[in-house]
Amino acid sequence: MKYWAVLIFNMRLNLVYPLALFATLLSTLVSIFVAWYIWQRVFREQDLVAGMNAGQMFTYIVFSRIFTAHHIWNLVRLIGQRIQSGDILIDLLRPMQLQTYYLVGRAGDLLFMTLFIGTPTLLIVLPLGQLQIPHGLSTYLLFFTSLLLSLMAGYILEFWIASLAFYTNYSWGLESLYRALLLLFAGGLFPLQLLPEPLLMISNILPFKDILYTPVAIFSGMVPSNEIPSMVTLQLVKVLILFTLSRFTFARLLQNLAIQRG
Amino acid sequence: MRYLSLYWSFFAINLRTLYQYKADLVIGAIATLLTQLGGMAMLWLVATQISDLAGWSLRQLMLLYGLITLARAFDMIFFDNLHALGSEYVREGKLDVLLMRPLSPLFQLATAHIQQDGFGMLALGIALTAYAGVSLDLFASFHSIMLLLFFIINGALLISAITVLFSAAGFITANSHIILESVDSIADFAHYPRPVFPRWIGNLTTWVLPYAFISYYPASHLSGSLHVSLWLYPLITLAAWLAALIAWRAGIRHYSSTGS
Repeated sequence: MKYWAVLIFNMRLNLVYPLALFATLLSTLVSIFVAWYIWQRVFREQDLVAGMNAGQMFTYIVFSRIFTAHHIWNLVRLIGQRIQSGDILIDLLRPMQLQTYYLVGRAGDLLFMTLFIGTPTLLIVLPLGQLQIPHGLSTYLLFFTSLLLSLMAGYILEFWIASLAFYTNYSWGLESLYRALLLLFAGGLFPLQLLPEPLLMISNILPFKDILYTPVAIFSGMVPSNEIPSMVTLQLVKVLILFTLSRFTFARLLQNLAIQRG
Repeated sequence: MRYLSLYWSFFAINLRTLYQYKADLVIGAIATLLTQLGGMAMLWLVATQISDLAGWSLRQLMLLYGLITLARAFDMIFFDNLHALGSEYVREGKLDVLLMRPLSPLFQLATAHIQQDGFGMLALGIALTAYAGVSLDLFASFHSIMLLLFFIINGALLISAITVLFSAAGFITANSHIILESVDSIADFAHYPRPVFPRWIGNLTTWVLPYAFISYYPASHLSGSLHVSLWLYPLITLAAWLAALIAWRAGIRHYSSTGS
């Protein structure tokens, strides 16, 4: 019940700033159209780019931009600010596990983003008739499973990066780092198969790919349907490993924690 | 002269403040550079797929990208704190302190903080413009070097005028930073040639938010594909600054403190 209250509170908090909502929607749409008009020029000269047709590219662009807006949970900034002010102490003393408390709060943000950013963006781009929608119930089920896992992976990794602020005492650099990794190695800017071979190898090793690329590639039809189940299973295994590591490192961090309070 | 000397003193203080968090500063600088390289990589990926983008070669695209990146870097380093006018200075009453001092409140606000992201952008902007400049023979004559410098300085002043103008919304709403972010997002169109986008977007970035005079028209002029009268550039910048200063003056005149 207490977690439900946190979730609802965060959703309501977002409603206080309708202008912020408009700005996020506008920047998401600008980002989609900038990328789309450029790639459209490429598709005028060739039918396929790295195995993708124009519809798949458009679908990838739309969903990767929406998910990028959703995935930036602003957790690094939030935790960084609370470390600087010392208010993190209050969060640690709450009768809720810190990671779960922030997760529920961010879930409220996510629901809000889905309703007021994701849905309107899709409604605006849908009439363009370029979106490539997958067929078959099983693909949808696997896509939503992959999406849920990607949100978990994103949260764990962002929390992990945010907790480095306990050592750096400032979060600007860490926040920029998370965004950069999301753009480059999670597929936020372009599909990962377009990366040069050495960078593609790095992105395959790093866990960021599963935050964004995997679900979007499944939805855009870039992954053959017989490969999707194994892809999602691998994603699940990675999330479980990340979760275990995150719990372990955070427990270690709390043992040696010093909080400044002015 | 007094303002210039004060500016450097404030700038040095801000740099020292940033230096207090060394690890974060280094991480952030690397991250900013990575982000900017990502944007550049997108351009490179497209350019390697096709022979030209709306008639623009990769070298010309790099020049265009470099010019807008330099202008945005300048704006970010020197004027980023204007984003905080509504949410921090007006809402929390901090603006009262600035109004009490014998210095321009706009100057004080701009110098209160520097945005570190700007330095990564500046590095990339210099590298891109220099590389494109060498490839396009822009450093071959004194005239073309002066022209390039003119476009860079004009672009920096124009983008700052746009920021100052829209920051004045902070006198009306606490969420002025969001209005500025929306305006900034439109600047993303200026990273690519105007003909790539539909006509209405081109008109928007030329006559409403004149970002095209920072990147597209200067890059066209320098690469010899399209010439717009040179007097038009400072005229637009002057008009933008005039509008910005009028908006700011009106904002200050009608400002009433929150009393908090």
